[in-house]
Amino acid sequence: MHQMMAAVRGHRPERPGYYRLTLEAPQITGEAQAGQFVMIRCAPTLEPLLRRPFSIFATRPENGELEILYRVVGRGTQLLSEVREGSPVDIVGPLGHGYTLLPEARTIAVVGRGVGVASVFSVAQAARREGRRVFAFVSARTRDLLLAVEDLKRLGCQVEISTDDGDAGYQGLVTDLLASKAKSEGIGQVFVCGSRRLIRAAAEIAREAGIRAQVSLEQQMACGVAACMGCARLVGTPGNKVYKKVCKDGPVFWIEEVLD
Amino acid sequence: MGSQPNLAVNIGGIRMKNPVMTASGCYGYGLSYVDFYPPDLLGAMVVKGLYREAWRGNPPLRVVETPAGMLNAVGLEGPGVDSFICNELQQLREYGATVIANVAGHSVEEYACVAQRLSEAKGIAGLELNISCPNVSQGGMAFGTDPRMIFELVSAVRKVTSLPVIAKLSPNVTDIRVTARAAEDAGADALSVINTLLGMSIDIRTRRPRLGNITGGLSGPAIRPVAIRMVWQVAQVVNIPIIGQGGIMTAEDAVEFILAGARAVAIGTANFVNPMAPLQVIEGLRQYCIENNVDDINDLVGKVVIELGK
Repeated sequence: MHQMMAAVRGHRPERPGYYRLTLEAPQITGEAQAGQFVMIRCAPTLEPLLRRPFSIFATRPENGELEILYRVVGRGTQLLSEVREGSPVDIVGPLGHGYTLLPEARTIAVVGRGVGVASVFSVAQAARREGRRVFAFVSARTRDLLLAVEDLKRLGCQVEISTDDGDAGYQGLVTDLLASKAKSEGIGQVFVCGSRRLIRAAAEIAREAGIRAQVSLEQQMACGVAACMGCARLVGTPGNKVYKKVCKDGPVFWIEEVLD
Repeated sequence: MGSQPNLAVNIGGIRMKNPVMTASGCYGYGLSYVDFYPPDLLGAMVVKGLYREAWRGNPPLRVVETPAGMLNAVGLEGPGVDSFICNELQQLREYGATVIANVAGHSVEEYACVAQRLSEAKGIAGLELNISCPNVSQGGMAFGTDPRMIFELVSAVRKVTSLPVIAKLSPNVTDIRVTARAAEDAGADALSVINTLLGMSIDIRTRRPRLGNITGGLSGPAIRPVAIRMVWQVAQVVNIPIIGQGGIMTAEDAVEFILAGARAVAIGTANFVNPMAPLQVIEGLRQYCIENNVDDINDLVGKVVIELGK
């Protein structure tokens, strides 16, 4: 892992309240694996003090760039959203334990709701680089909040979308879309990032279809390197749950391990 | 160019090449930051608190950011002393790191047991007694706020080890000078001043405490003036070395602690913000000494100038 001042190559609003940040960080990009994350110092101030974790959305190793797709949720991300192109950003990474693409899974599905798409996009990108077939199921409350749909299409994924109000795509749970394809398309592995409800539904579909599934979790963290033990989540088999660190043991876990 | 200033210090028998340590609870078990720099560049590292057995810690949420600081309620999650000796300590020895082990317990007997096991292991430079953690229901702060308990606990550990013993003091007391003297009287070789301040944060939307443990320990720059005041107060009443800690982010912060009476400093929350902070503080102290014609950093200890009546 590395700490560096990365130049901002691009920074633009993606949707209302969402931004796409492109950083020149060749060392991090060269080592990053799908599902890993970075910690960014949003401002050189004492408030906010701590770095913020961001999923690595995409990498372009050929020119040393990595992309972050993030939502403004508080003062830290608000300050980050004001950083201009050409400015340096203090970044640490790559961090954490990423996705595991099973060799036999030649067709995979990625499921992301809201900004959760930022995490599963990275595994879709890795799978397409290996020539695997990818179904991408993207969900949001409204059409305006659908993220990365065109990026996924450009990768060559077969994209289906759902919105809560039905203004775009299927009206209802994105996992309904997953369920129908899980039965018909020979999906060999599922990757999920989203709400607790989404994770539970995806886990049930994967279990019924006998498909291995992984999930990326979020948790408040201070250090990102397992020094503070702050980002604990109960993980394990029923009756044998232990606290694991989302920053180091995760953020990606097998889905059955994280069910309540 | 003049000669390089001496940065080496001696903390109760622990010889350190420079006065910059990493604080317990903010450096894991010593290996979290090895990708950033070799740990033998530090004066010393204090690893996270060790119980006799593995300990699960507190439920999430465990960390919350606050103005210029953070609250934590980790609750001393850890693998237990034997696991640390067999695993992390072996690697730390290979790195040549100066390792101080933080000792935790739920009873005086447990503190003594952990101290004894660590004393029998190779590669431990000293023991820091965690008598001040605010996040455990037994032990921790319950010991650290009662001078009689401090005396009993430090005495019990003193009997089972020949390693230097450091008592980490709680700021959650009316007069820290009383607890500092109790630790010194019981045979402590040095004092860590201070641990975290007991704090709380409430989510006004849910009206619930943010931390799973309800309360937690406040650290970071927000507590620095309290820590400097307490180092200064303790320095007036004890003769053993003080390791100043509490919100140190830069070399300038460290100099404040040294002028207040600290012989060494420990970097805590700053590690999370800036993994390179300890090395930057070491280099900054070197530069401060050069720019201010200080040949030996020990000459700065307690040299705050106080002119009453002016």
